[in-house]
Amino acid sequence: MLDTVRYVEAPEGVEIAIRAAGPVSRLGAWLIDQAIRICLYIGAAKLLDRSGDWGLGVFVLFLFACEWFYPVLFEVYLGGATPGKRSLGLVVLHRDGTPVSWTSSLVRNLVLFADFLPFGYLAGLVSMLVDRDFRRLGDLAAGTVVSRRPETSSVFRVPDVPPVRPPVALQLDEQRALLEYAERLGTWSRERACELAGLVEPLTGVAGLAAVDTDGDADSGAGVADPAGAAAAAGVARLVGMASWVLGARRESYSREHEAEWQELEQALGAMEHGSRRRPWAAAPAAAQESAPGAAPAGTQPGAPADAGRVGTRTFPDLFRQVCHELALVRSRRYGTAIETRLNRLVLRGHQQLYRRTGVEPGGVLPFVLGGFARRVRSEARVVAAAALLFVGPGLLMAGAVLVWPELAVAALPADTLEEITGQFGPGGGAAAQPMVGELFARFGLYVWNNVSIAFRTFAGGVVYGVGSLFFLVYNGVVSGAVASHIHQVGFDRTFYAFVIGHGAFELTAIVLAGACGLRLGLAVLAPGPLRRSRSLLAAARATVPLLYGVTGMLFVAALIESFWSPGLAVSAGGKLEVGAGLWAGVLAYFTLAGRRHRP
Amino acid sequence: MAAAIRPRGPAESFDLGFRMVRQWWRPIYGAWFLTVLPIYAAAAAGLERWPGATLLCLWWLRPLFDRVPLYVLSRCLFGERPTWRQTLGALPRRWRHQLVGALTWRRPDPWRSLHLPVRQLERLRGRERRARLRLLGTGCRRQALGLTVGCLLLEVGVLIGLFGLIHMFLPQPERFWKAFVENGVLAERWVGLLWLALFFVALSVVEPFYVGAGFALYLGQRTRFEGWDVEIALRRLAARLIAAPPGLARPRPAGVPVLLIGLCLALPAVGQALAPPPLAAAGAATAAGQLGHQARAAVEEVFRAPEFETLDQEVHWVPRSPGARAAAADEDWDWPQAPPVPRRVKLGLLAAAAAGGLALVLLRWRRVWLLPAVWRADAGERPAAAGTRAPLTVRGLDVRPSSLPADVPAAAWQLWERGEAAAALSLLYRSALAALMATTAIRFAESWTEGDCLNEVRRHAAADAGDAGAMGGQAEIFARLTASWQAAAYARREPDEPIMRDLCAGWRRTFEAPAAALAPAAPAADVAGPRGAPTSKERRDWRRSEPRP
Repeated sequence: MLDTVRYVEAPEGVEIAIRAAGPVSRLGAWLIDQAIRICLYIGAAKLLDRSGDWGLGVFVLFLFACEWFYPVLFEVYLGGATPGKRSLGLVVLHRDGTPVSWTSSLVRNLVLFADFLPFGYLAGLVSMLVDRDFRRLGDLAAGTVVSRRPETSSVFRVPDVPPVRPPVALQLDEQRALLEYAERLGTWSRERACELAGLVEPLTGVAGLAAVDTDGDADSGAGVADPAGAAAAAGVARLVGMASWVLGARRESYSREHEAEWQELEQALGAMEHGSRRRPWAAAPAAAQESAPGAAPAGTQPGAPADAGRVGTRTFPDLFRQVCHELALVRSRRYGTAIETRLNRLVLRGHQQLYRRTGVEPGGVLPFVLGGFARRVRSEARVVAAAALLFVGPGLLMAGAVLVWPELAVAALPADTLEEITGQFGPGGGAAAQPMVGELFARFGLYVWNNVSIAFRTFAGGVVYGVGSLFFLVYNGVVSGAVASHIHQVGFDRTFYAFVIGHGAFELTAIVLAGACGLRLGLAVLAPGPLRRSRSLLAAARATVPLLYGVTGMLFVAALIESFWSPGLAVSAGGKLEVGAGLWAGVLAYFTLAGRRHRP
Repeated sequence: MAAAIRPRGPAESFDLGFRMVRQWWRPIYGAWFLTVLPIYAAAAAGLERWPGATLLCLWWLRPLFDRVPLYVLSRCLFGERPTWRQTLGALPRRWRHQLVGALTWRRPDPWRSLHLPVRQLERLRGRERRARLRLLGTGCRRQALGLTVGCLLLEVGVLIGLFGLIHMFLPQPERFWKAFVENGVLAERWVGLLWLALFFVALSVVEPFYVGAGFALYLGQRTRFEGWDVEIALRRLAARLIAAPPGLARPRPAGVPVLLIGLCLALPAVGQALAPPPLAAAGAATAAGQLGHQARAAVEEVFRAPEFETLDQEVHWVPRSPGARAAAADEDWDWPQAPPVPRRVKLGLLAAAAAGGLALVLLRWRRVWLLPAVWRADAGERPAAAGTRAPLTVRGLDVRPSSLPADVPAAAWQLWERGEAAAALSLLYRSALAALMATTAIRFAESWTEGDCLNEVRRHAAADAGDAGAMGGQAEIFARLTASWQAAAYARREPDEPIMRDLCAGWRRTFEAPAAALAPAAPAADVAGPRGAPTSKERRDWRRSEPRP
C-alpha cells in the first residue's frame, strides 16, 4: 500500500511513524534559507564596508562559514532544522528517527555540492524523485531523511453513545472504518454524516427493514411526516454505537488511566526542548535524589529545568519506555487514530531527546590531533597512495613536458592567468613585497575559502563513482605542475619555492587526503562488496568524515602560513626553504609515526 | 485502492502525489510519451516557419497534456493498469471534455492541478462545479498556488541543469553559448530543435509529478471534507453485506467499477446542502414507523451532544480599529470627485460583455467547428452509464451475446472432443446465462455466485409454473449444467461423455430458440462456420474466468 509514512523501529521495540518530506516543501525551505543568507551577506557587507582589508578578511571568512556551515549549525544545535525548514515544519533526522549528528549533518551538506551538479541541483532533484524517501545524494551519503514534524493529535473522540452490537462479524479494516467514522464525525456537516451512514444500510439497516421490504410494499403508504431524516439520524446513531462497541469500554478507561503519565512526559519534553540542549537527565539524578524521598509525586514540578531529568517519581527514560509500551499496545488494540497520533508524537519527541548525539569525535579533539588523525589516514593507506599518485604523477609529467615544450603550459591554463601568477614571483611582484597586516588577514580569509572549498568539492565529487575526485586531483596536479615548471623556466624559481614550500606541506597533503576520501566514496559505490550500494556509501562516508575534519584543520594551518609567513621579506628565501623542508618532514613524520603506540 | 487514503495536510498530500507518480511511472510515462511526444515531434516540423507561435502553442496546450497522467493515475489508484491501447482509446473523450474553456479563459488558472480532477473526473458543470471548486479549495489555496509556482521553478531548474550538463560535456562551450547569445534564440535550425528538446525533457520530468500532486491534494481535500476514505470503506462493507447475506459472510473485495463510480459520480451532499439522504423512501418509511417517536427523540438528543457539533473555521481580515481606518480613507479617497473611476468601470463592463459574447459564441458553435464527427459519435452514451443495464459479466464470465458463437452446442461439442472439457462447459454455462438474461425477467448481478443464479432461476421457475412450464425445463437443465460446471471448474472433475451429450442436447432443446433470437445476425444453420468454431479467445476466456476457490 502506497503511503507517505514509514515506520522505523526504536530500540524500545515500538515502531515510530516518520513522514518524509517531498521536493515541493524542500524547495520552499531552500528558497527561504537562500533569502536569509543573502540578507546576511548584504548586512555583513554593509557592516564591514568601512573597515578596509580587515573587514574584507572577516567578510570572506563569514562568507565561507555561511556557505558550508550554515545548515550544519542549525541542524546540529538548533533543533535539526534551518529557519526555512523550521518554518515549513521540516526537520532532518537519521533514518532511524534519531536527531541528526554532527557527522551526518556535515556529510549531507558537503555532498550538497554533488547534488548541485551539473547545475541548478539537477542531480539532487532527480535523486529525490527517484528515491522512496525523497532523499538527495547528500541524504543518501549521510543516512538522513528530511521529514515532517510529527502531527499534533486531533481533539476528536468517539461520542458517548450506548454500544450497539453489529449484526455481522466485521473485518479489521471495516472496524477501522467505523472508528474513523465515529472519530471524525465532528468534521463533517450533518447531512454528510447522515449520507455516509446511509451507505451502510445493510449494516445499520434496522435489521428487519430489508425483510419487510421484500414481503410487501403495500403497507408502507402510511409513513411518518419526516421519515427520511429520522431514519438517517438513527443510522448515524447506530453506526456510532457500533463503533463504540468495537472500541469496547477499555479504551476510555485506558486513556483516563494513563492521561496523567502522558501529560507528565509532555511537560518534561517541553522543558527539555526549550531548556538546555544537553541531556538534563544525565546530570539530574544526584540533584533529584535529595528531593525525591521527601517529595510527594504530585508536588514535583516537571517544568523546572533542574528537575527535568526526573519526572514525577520516575526518571525520564523510564517514563519514556512506559509510553513506548503504551503506543505499541494502543496500536495493536486499535484504539483509534487520535490517540495513536498523540502517542506517536510523544514517542518521537522522546526518542529524539534520549538518543541525541552531539560532539564531533567520540575521543575528543586533542587525542584526534595527537594521533587519531594519523591513524585513520594510515588505515586508508591504499586510497591515500592512489590519490597521491593521481595528483603527483600527472603533475610531474606535466612539469617534465613543459620543460621540454614550454608552450604546453598554455594548454593547462589561460596565458594571462599564467603571466599574472608568474609576475607575482618576479622582482617587484606580490610575493616579494611586505604587505600590511590587514591585507594579510584578507588574504587569509580568501585562502581558507578557496582551499577548503576545493577540498570539499574534491571530496563530494567522489559520490559520482569517484569521477569528480579523480578529475579534481588530476586537474590540480596538472595545473600545479605546469605553473611550477613555467616559473622555473622563467627563472623566478627561488622566490617561488621559498613561497610555496611552507604552506605546501599542509595544503598539498590536505588536497591529496580530500581526494582520497572522495575516491573512497567512489569505490564504495563502484564496488560495494556484500553490502547494498546505499549502505556501502553510508559506511564509507561515516569512515571518511573524520579525515575531512583533519583536512579542514590542515587547510586552516596552511592558510595561516600562506598569508602570514610565506610572503614578506623578514625572513630570507634560504631560511624559508629550510623551515619549509622541516615542515614537510614534520607532516610526513606525523602521518607515518604519530599514534603508533595506541592499540585500541 | 492502491494508496493509503487518510486525512493529510496539503503538503503531505503533495508528497503522496509524488510517490504515486514514482510508483506508477511505467504506465504514466508510457502514456505520456505516447501522446505528448508526437505532438512535440509535430511541432518540430512547424518550428522553422513559425518558431515563436509554435513554442507558445506548446506551452498553451499544457492543460491537455495534464489530462493524460491524470487519467492513468486515476486508474492506477484503483489497482487497474490501463494499457496504452486503453489510454489512447480514452483520450479523445478526455481531451474533448471542456476543451474550449480549458484552453481559453481557464488557461491562466493558477490552481490548475487542483481543479483538473474536479473537471475531468467529476464532470460537473455550471453552478454545481463552481460550488464544488470553492469547497475543495477551502484551506489549501495558498499551498496549491505554491505547488504551481514550485513546479514552475523546478522546471526552470531542470532546464538550467540540462544546459549545465551540455556545458560540461562540450569541448568548446564558448561557441555553443555564442550561438545562443549572439545569433538569437531561434536563428539556427539546431538551436531551435535543441530548445524544443530541452523544453520537452524539463516538461516531462516535472509535469506528471505536478499533476500527481494536484490529484493527491484533491483526494486529501475530499477526505478532509467528506470522509472519502470512510465512504469507500463503508461502501465496500455494504457491498459485502449485500453480496453475501449475513448467513454466509465471506470476504470478497468489491469490484473496481463500483469504486470508480464512487470516485467519479457519487457526489456528496456537502456544500450543496440539499439532497435528502439516499435511503430508499419505502424502506425509510417503514424504518421510521418501527422506530417510533421515542427513538427519534433519543436520536435528536444524541445529535445535541457536543461531539456532534461541527467545527467551522473562517478567517477574515478586519480593520484593527475601524474608526482610524475610516478617517484615513476619508483623507485619501475622494470618491465623488474622482472622474476616472466611472469611465474605468464602463470600460470594464464593455470588455466583460465582449468577452462574454465571445465565450457564448464559442460555446454555441464549438461543436460545429471544433470537433470532428468521429468524436461526437459516442456523445450520447454517457448518461446511460449509471447502470440499469444487464451486466456484461457474471462472476467473471463474459455473458455478452456478441461473445457467443452462433451454434453453442456444436461449438461446445467441438471443444469437448478436443479435450477441453472445462472450456466447453464454460461456454455452455455462460451462454445459458446469456439466454436467461435475455428472455426472462431475472435481474442478474455481476457479483452473483453460481448458487445465487441457480436459486433465482428456480424461484422464477416456481413462480410461473402455472404458465407453459417452459421455464421449468430450463431450470432443470440449468441446474444440471451448473452442477457439471462447478465440478469441472472447482474440482477439475470432467463429466462423462453421455452426460456431456445429454447436456448439449438439453441445451439445444431449451435454450436454442432464445439464443437464436439473441443473435439474429448470425446464420443459424451454418454449424461449422467460422463463428461456430471456438476461437482462441474462447479458450483464453475460460482460463481467465476460472474461479479461484
